[in-house]
Amino acid sequence: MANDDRVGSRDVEPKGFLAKTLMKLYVPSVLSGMKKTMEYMIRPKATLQYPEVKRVTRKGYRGEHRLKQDEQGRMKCVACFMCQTACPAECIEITAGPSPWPDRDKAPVQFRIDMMKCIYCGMCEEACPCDAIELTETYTQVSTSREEKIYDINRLLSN
Amino acid sequence: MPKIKIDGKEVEVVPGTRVIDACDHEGLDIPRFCYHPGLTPAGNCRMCLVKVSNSRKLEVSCVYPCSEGLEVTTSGPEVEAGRKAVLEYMLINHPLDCPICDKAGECQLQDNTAEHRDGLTRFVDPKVVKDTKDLGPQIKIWGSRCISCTRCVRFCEEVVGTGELAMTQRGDHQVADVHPEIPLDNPMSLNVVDICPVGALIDKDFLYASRVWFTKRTDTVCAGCSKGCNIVATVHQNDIKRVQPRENHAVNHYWMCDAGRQGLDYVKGPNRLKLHRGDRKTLAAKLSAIAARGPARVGILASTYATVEEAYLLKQVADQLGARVGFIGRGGDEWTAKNGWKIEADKTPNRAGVAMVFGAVEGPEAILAGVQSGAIQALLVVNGMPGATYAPELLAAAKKLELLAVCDIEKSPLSEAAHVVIASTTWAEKDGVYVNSTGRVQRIQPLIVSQGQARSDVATLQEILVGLGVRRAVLSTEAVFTEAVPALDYAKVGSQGVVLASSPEATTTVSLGAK
Amino acid sequence: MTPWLIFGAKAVGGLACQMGVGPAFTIVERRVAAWIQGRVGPNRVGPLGLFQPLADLVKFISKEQIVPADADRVLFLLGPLLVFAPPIFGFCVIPYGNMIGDEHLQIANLPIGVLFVMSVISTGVYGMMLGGWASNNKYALLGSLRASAQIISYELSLGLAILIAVMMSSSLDLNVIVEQQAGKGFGAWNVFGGGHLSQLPSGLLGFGLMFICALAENNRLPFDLSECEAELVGGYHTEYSSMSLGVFMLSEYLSMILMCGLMTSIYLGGWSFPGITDPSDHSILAGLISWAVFMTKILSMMFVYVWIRWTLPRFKYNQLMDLGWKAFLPASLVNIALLAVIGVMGV
Repeated sequence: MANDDRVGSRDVEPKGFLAKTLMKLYVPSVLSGMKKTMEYMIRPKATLQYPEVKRVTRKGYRGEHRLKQDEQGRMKCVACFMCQTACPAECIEITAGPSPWPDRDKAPVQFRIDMMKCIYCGMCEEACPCDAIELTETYTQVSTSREEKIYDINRLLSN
Repeated sequence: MPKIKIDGKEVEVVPGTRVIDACDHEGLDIPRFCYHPGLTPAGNCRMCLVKVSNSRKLEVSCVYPCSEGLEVTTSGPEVEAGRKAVLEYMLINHPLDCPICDKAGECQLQDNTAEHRDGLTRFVDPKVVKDTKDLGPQIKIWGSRCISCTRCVRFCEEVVGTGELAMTQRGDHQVADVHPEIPLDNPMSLNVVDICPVGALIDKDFLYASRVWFTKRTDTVCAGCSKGCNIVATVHQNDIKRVQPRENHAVNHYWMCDAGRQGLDYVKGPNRLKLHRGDRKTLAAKLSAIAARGPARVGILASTYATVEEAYLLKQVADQLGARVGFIGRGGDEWTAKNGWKIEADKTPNRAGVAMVFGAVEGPEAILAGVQSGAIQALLVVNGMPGATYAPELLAAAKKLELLAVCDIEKSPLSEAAHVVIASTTWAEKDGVYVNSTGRVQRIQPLIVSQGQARSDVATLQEILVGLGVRRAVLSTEAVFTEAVPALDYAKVGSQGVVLASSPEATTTVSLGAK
Repeated sequence: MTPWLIFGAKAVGGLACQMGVGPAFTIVERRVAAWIQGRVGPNRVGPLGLFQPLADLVKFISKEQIVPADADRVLFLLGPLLVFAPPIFGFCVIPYGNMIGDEHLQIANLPIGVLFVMSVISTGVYGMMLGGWASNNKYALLGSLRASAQIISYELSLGLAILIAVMMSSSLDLNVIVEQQAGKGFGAWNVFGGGHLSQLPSGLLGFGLMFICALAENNRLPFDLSECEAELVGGYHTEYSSMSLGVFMLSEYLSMILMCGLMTSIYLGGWSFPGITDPSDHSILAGLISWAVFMTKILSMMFVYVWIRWTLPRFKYNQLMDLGWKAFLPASLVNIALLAVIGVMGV
């Protein structure tokens, strides 16, 4: 057997005929490897049985967006575009218009987030001066078309 | 000539110069609200405080005249403390609604606060809230945001002379307002929106349209009349959101008229011609065959919206085909402001440029007569003018034409009847050069991407010329311009334009503004 | 009539040991593989995923059977069957339990059982050769060459390793070999010297050699380079699909069971276990207990097979051949010589 084909523990030079033979036959390496795999076999698994068991998200988990509403059910957003400005993925697209309520000037007419562009960084939440947008803990997002992944204002409000 | 020292540097100034102008000339950044170089100084905002050697207290540089030996200090703890205090007073009642204010991003109060204050407030009492209301058909005022700089009042008073605006109420209730029965609707009224240092006065067209930091700004020249005001267009997502005047003391100073700002809807209007029709490859051959039958068998109808490059190429086509060229134009009312600022009667931007190329600008009458008599068998229409109307006689006579080719930006009865239709680009979508009524050569630039198949007339005309064997290849617009006017190129025209001595109307002068 | 009934019952019992456990073991293999890799493994079909083999079977059967163009159709379809049959024949002589009454729990009681098993398992290589050659695919052909060279090489060492046990027991009858090891404690197992302490090194070495050779003989990792899909474009079964591929897969498990049964019988005391089984008790209950012991031993060894599979990396072909010819063959010969000397000296 060529020299470079040898494997096994090289740290200690084995002494004695038996030890050398066992080393040459990979016996120590094989045994240490099998010990390691046995450890893995009996170790508890991290896998969750997904549809039945759902991972409990930690506080501050960043999932789908929601547009918040105040006590009277009016959306808090005033269409200041701060989230759109802060968004590094440029996935937010707001169309502003006059507000239907007397206590503010401006409100979004349309508020679109392209969930496929979004990187869930939470910068929109950080940037919002009105605490009007937040990332919920919803991470199960299934759509059957690209159009569905562009969430409009109603989808975001009902999230 | 008095000599003064600004921050230790000796400067010689014209007598009567204000300290702020001397500082501006030196490139020093003096914060300001009420001072505007196009208006008389008011000295009421007190933001432009500097330290001068003649006075123990800080002085307002926009009204302080330079005198011999004056020593001016524009920075330092004392000056900074003064400016900070002024800003603190201003911010007492100014609402913190920057997120929803359309001025945010280009607001002088915002900029100065960011630079001269630390972002803290000591004021705990409720702010004074003032009305938000319409001042005129186009302008809305947010009273609470007003900092009483009186720029708008002075503009209406001094430049336009109509004086609709005045400061009403007193103290911290003071606000700019109009008389209830006299709306702010003079032909230059929207300039008050531009000069407002805060977001108090807002153009309703731009209201909520876009945040300014998302937009792209492109320098160009207004095509609304032959004055050729220098403007800058604010574009967001391939849509012109607004145009604003650009400083050019040889043309429009700091102002432009409301008509120039409005009426740009045609660029994306429903009537735009977006698709070509007919066989444009054989157009040159057909024109050439008809032209070969005799003199003046081909007519060309163009407009004085054509750029210098287009006019030059039209002339080449006309010379090759032995065609007459008639130009349609558009007239209107001339209007002069109190200070002599004038809106021209000729509502097309390039009559002077066409005249420069053709020598004289012929009207469409000869073409109409030729078509009616049947002498003209082929008509080439190259029109870049929005809202062009064609004489009904021409439309009727056009049925007799053997070949009618129309390059136009909008659908018209003529384009419906045409054998070949080529969609072309508008003023907002093309490169080119206009010559204004004073003979100033100025450049327009594409602001947005063109609609549909629309292509520039410069390319279309060059293709025809290649087909006629006059030109060998289709060149860039700039190359055509340099060919038409060998003394100039786009770099020499620059952002402020140049006057060409050979222009026939270069001798016309216009009284220009307040300075 | 009665002998035929008894024979039928024994045959059903023997086949149940092999044909029943073989497919079922695929789920064990998959679950253990998953656990070793930190996964959970298939657990969706039936309780704990126990019906997964049935689902696999349905899948295999319902797939399209593709015979490559220009392949030798008859030999192509014959190949899997020739691989499938030998392990079943071989298992006929394995005693899977203590005697019940006067009957050995063994389908066929041959006096030369060991030789029969060895000769039968050698024929499995024909199926692989035929399959690889009949596929009309150069990769399949190369794969079958690799597999047959490997199997033939290791058969040599395997035979010599079996010979150690035969020498210790002085018999080719598997029943005799098992009964000699039964009822006398662990020391009587051939792996521990067959009752003579002086034979302990030979027994251990012989068992070790046999175990490793059995891995190679069954094309199991780390010697599975005859059928590694990613690196060497599969093996002799590259062109196979549907149930004919399934038969190849199944026969791998069947021959694993045969090998484990053989090893258990000649080295590990067969169906006996000190303290649990009593060789002299020929009742039905004792027979079932001995059967359970036998199956437990087989399944434990197969678990070690799986454990090794997901631990060790694959050998290179030159390493495989070097190991077979340069290490195992000399070691086996030396071992036989040693045992012979000890036996002659009568220590």
